[in-house]
Formats: sequence, C-alpha cells, structure tokens
Amino acid sequence: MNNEDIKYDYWWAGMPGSFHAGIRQIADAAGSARRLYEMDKDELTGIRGISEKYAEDIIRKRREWDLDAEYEKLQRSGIRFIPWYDPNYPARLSNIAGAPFAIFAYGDIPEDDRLSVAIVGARNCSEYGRMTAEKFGSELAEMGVQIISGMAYGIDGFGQAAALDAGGRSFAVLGCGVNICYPSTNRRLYERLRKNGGIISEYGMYTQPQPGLFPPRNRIISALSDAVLVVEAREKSGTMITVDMALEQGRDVAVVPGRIGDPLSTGCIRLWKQGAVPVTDAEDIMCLLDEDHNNAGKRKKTEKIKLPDTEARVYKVLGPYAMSISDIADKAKLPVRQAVCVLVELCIKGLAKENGSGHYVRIRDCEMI
Amino acid sequence: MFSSVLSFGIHGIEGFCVNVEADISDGMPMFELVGYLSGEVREARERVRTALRNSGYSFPVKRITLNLSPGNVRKHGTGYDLPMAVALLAAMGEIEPCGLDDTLIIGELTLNGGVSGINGVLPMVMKARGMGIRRCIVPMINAAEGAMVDDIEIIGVGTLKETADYLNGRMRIEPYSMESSDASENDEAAGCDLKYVKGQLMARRGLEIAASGMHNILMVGAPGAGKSMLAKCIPTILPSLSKEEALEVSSIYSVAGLLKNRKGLIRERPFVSPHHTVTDIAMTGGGTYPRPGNISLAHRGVLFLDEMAEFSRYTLEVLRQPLEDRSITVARNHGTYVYPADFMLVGAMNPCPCGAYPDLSKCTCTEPARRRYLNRLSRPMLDRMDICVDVEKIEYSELLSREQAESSESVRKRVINAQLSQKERFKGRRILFNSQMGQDEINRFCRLSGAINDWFAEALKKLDISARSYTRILRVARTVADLDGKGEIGREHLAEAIQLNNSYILN
Repeated sequence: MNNEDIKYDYWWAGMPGSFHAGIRQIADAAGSARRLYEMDKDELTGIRGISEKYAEDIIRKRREWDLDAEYEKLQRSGIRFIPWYDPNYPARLSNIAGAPFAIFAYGDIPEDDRLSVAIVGARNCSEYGRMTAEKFGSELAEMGVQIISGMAYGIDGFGQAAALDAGGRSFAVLGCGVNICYPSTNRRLYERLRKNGGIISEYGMYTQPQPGLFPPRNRIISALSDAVLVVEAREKSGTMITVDMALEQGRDVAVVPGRIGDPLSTGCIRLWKQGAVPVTDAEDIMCLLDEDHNNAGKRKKTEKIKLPDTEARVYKVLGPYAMSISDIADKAKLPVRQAVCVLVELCIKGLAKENGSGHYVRIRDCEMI
Repeated sequence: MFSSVLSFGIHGIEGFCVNVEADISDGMPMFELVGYLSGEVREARERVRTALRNSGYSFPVKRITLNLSPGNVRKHGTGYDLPMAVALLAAMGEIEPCGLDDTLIIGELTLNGGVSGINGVLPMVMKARGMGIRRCIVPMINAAEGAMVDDIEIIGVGTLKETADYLNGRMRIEPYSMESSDASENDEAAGCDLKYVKGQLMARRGLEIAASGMHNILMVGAPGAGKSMLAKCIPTILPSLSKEEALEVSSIYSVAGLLKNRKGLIRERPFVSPHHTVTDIAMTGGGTYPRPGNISLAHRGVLFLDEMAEFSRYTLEVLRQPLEDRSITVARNHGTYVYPADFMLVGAMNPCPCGAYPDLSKCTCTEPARRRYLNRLSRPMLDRMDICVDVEKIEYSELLSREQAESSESVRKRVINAQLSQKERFKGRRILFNSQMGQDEINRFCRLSGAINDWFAEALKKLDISARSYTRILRVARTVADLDGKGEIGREHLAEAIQLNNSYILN
C-alpha cells in the first residue's frame, strides 16, 4: 500500500451516506478502492453487489470528491482514519463477520490487550437502572476495564459517565459521523470521552444520524467488548440487537436481574432464561471472563450512616423506583407534612432525589447504624 | 329648537359622560348625526327614526342635527339610541325639558319602540353616582344591574313611549330596588367542594398554601387524576369578595356583557378557564373597541389554564406583564385602555406527552420527548409559578371509600386567617399578599434566624437552587408560616416550600 492508496480508501469509506453494509466486500472484489475509483460504469456494474443505480451513485460521488483536498481536511480535523489493513485497526474487530472496511476515531481506540466490557440498555431507564449502570461502570473502571457503549441517553451514557468519573477509560461507538455529537444533550460526555477514551464510528465525517445506521453500529459495540452487560432492556429494543451480535461474535453476555413484571426488565429476564449470566457486581463479570484479577479483596463496603429516627424510617421506605410523597408517608407511618420535611432533609444529605414532580427515589445505598 | 340629554359611554371599564344634543331647524329635510361616531352609533339614525314613528310620533320633516359631545372622543356601542330619541322628542316639544335635568339616560332601541339591554350599565351608574347625578333611566333588563349601586334612583323602562310618559309625569315608575329581587343568589359552581376530593393530600395542601398567599400554582399529574376538579375548588376556599371587590368584578362583567339577567353583585371569586386554543387578544382583551379579556374576567379570582403546555407560547408569554403589574394596558387607534387583571394563575399539565411518567412501566415517552414537552413552558413563565404540586392518579379503593375529606368551608377559615395576618403585615404598603412581596419586603419580613439560615444556605447549595427559586421559596415559606400562625419562618416551613418549588421541572 502506498501513501496515495489511502486517499482512495478514505474516499470509499468516507463518502457521507455511503452504502455501508458490504463496502468491504465490494472493495475486495474490485481489488482495491483505487480500482473502484478508476472503473467505468460497465466495469462497476460487473461487480457483485453493485446495481446500476449504485454505480451511478459512485460515479457521481467521485466527481464531487476532491481526493487531495478531502484527505487534507481529514488530517487537519484530528480525526483518525483507520482502514482494515492498518496495524492500529482493533484486533477484536478484524476477526468478526462483517468487519468494517475502516473506522474513524476521535481520540483513542480501545487497547487490544486490555479487557473491555460493553454496558448497554434502555434509553428511558429507571433510577434503578441508572444506579446499576453507574455502579458497574465505576467498579469495572476501577479494575482497569475499558467501557464500550453507544453514548445514548439512559443506561449507555450513565455507565460511560460513571467509568470516566472513576478515572477509567471509555469508548463510544456512534451511528453517525464521529464529529457529530448525537444525542446532542450528551455534549459534555462526548467531550470527556474524546479526552479519556474515544469516539468511534465506521461512518464518514458529517454523516447524519439515521435510524438505519444504528443497528449495524451495535455489532461494533459488541465486537469491541469481551463481554456485554445488559442493565435494563425492554423485550424489543436496540439492546437486543447488540446481544444477538455479541452471541454471533462469541462474546459473553451478562444481565442485571430485574423485577419480573417490570417492562424494563423483560429483556434481561428473557436473556437470563436463554442462558445469559446474571451478575450483581463487577467481580461476577470478571469470573465470567475467567480473569485473574488482583482486586478480589477490593469489594466496596456498604457505607454506614447515622440518621435521626424519622429520617431512617423514610429512608428505609425509599427505593430505586419513584414513589409519591403520600405513598412514602403512608408506608413510613408519618403525617404527610412531616414526611415532606424529612424528604427534603434526605435530599440535602444526598441520600434521596426528586424524580418527577412529587416523586422520590433513594440514590445512595447505606446501612443504618 | 334645541335640547340636551345626559348619557354615558364606556372607556375601558369606566363610564364617561356624553351629552346628546338635538336641534331641529327649518331647511332641507335631513337627519344628521355628528360627534366622532363609530358604525353602530351611526346606524342609530334608522333605529331612532323607526322607533319614533312606531311609538306614535310623526317624524318631523325638518333639518335635524344630533351631536354627541365631547366631539373628540370616539363613541361606540348602542346605548345612545334612547337618549338620542329622547333628545329629539324634547326638541320636538313632546317631552318637557325640565324633566331631563340631573337624569342619565341609556338604552338601545328596537324598531317597534322597545328598549333593549346594553353592556356596561353598572360602571356607568357608578360613575354617575360619583358625579352626583340623581336618577338613571336604563333598560328594564339592566335595572337590577344598575340597582347594585346604592344612593341613586334606577328607573327601568321597557319602551320609548313609557320613557316619554314617565318624563312628562304622565306615568309613575317606582325606582328599582334590590329588596324586590332575590339578592342572595348563589352561583357557587354546583357540587364543587374539597370534601368531594378523595385523597390528594399533597395537592390539597398545595392549594391551601397557594390560596392563602395568592401564589400562582402549577399542578402536574396524569390525565384523569383530578387536576381540573381541584382547580375548580379554589374559589371555594378563597374568602368571598368584599363589597368593593364585588363592584369592581361586576363592573368588568357588565362591560363584557356577562351580567344580564343577574340579580345582585357577583359575590363568588371568578373562575375563568379558557380553552388552550385561545388567542393572545382574547386573553388580554382587545378588538377595535376593546373588551376585557380572560385575564380581566379572572380579576380577583382564578385564571385556570388546563393543559398549560398546549397553549401557544405567545399566548402564555403575554401573561407575564399582567402577572407583574396586576393590570393590562391595551393600546388601540382610538385610545389606550387599562383593564384590571389581578388574578391567581393556576396551571395544569401532564408530566410527559403520554401522561404516565414517572411510572416507567407505563410511560412510553423518550427522555428528549419529555424534555421538549416540559420546555413548552418558558423559564420566565415557570419563574412566576411559586408552587408546583403533583396530582396523583387516585386508587380505586380510595374512590370507593366513604370517608369524607375536609370541606372547603373549614379550609377557607384557615385561608382567611392567613390572609388576615398578611393584611396586618403589609399595612401601609401597596401589596396585600405574600406572593407580591418584592426584594424589600422579603428582606424585612422573611428574615431567617441564625441556625435556620445556615441550614437553608446548605440546602440551596446541595439542591442546586437558583437565585430566582430562592425568593420564591422564601415567599411560600412565609405563607406556610402564616398558616401555622407563626411569626418566624422555621425549618419545617422552608422544607415544605422547597418541596413545593418547581425546581424539578426547571432543571
């Protein structure tokens, strides 16, 4: 491969809106991306997988594409372009079916010889899901595990943010170009990931997020991980696609056991029944991965706190699922007004949180003295 | 021959004096109306001419000029028909001019000589009494409305003929008096009482506090949880209108034409609930000749915005200025009108588009969809909602329970007490309620003692409460303390105010 070829490869991988599934096979069939660039229409349609319309598309796109200028733009942007033959191309990706032709990375890419675990789950998650994702994120990060996910709302983002908070490294695989922050509300997380991990995508710069692009990116999330942890998932969800991919690629699947009857746990419980491993802390995942790790004794002790009687009563009633004040007052056997005061005190102490107007959840698990 | 009759027009919600002058002279037969008139006043020509003929008078074939003075103020409305006809009859010599002294005449004419009702009789009569006028001749249908004002004679007339006979002394009409009518009419919205509201302890408490300090309140809850029912109960826990307030409110309703066939003043607090498709003009009042809008009809009462997130953003934003000024200024071609608009704003909305949040087993909304929904209320608007309460979906078992909740009447007693202590506190100031406290009053009346101040400072920091919320919390805490009959704001008052703060929606 000479230096010129990479420009052609960049053209082939980086055209916004490229027909992604199978671009690698097409390039292989043609010989190289450079050959594709030079072929005329008849030659193009002769290749398996290229229809007449697609051939026209390619011709039009290469007319609009300035090879040198675009490549220079890429180099200036600080985004890395890593084609499949590049020595930096993640080893975990090379040996899966449908390996991407190339990946783009903003920041780093996961290290090959370091464990990595994907934390995935529902966008619209419960407070329980959030706490659990954060717990696993930080515990795994403390053990030096890289956290892979999709930077989505909910479980994905919470797990990754917690890993970064714990000083670990985390990588997001996006369904759009790496220079686009999607969802835009995760801007802060996006910036943090760039510094302490990386943003990865197989789609070219400026590719806008589209529904069809997300399922294929899930195969990269699972491929980059040694195990996939599902925290909360509905029965039909993008998370289940990630799990299917993981199983195809021979990755381990772990699930967080949830309550039966809770729609957010139906996915996890179904996976559990099908053989996924239920886990309650990071060590369970380590056992699953057969890893010797020297953190065995590091299990976190539950915090012990001392609370006045009424506060302790209310705290015991609270759980990870949002409860209304009147329910809380009822269960703690306190008058509503007093319960309100106690809840505000607990919020100030950082033990509870208002989640939805007039609904409260417990946000830190402590033991009473 | 010349004659002059005293009549009144309406500007904003106040009456103003108009002299109706008639002159009949020789010359080309014509009937001319002058005096800066709007379309409906100009049309009076045909009504007066026909009504006169159908009342048995022959319309003079002469040069007739009618003038409404002052000539530089736009006149509108149909109330000038009757005074025009009377002025004309006086000029014709059919009515003795001496009977017209010190007498206000208003009313619309029908073609057969009948007198039909008009809007705004009450404020006109009020103004007339202020000017020392002795007697008002008003349409029969508006007589009860006029009689709400003491110390002035109200003569209700049904036809033009009757009016002429009365003025000539050929017929006696007794002044309309309130005793002859049922003044104790009670229009309390039937069946609305807090005792029928089951459960909802938090919401009830929120309403009580809101009513005590006239705080604006936002109710958030699932569809069918009972937000509208709770809102309708608010007038039943507010003290009833005082005499001055009742006159003020009745005046507005009179101008808006909503007082017809009503006996006695409006005594209950108004409850106005516009649909969410309402326009900004309908909300503030307006039109070529402005009429009071929903916010003025809610004066001294409750403006309830159900499905608040569905209102157009613009309609909500126009509420901001009246919420500060407690009145609305409408500027039009023909003048600038000021309508009072001192109301308590009550909003109701769902917690998310589907309404089930935070019950995640039912809610199907995505986080961004929920955010977008909540963001339909702008931050400045939310900053004006002192209290935010959650209205829970009620359990079936609670619905069936026989236990009766506390009645509106007993809640009202506490509210009245809390309002009395506010009245005492704000004596000599421009404000009446805790919700109206400015920075100066907050510094003076919401002082926190040492330990409590430290605790509050800690709470503000830990809970990430903004400066805006800070003043809101203090105002509400003041009201909570007033309800408890405490002079000093305590920790429990602050804690409750923090809970009722809408920080959850804001953040």
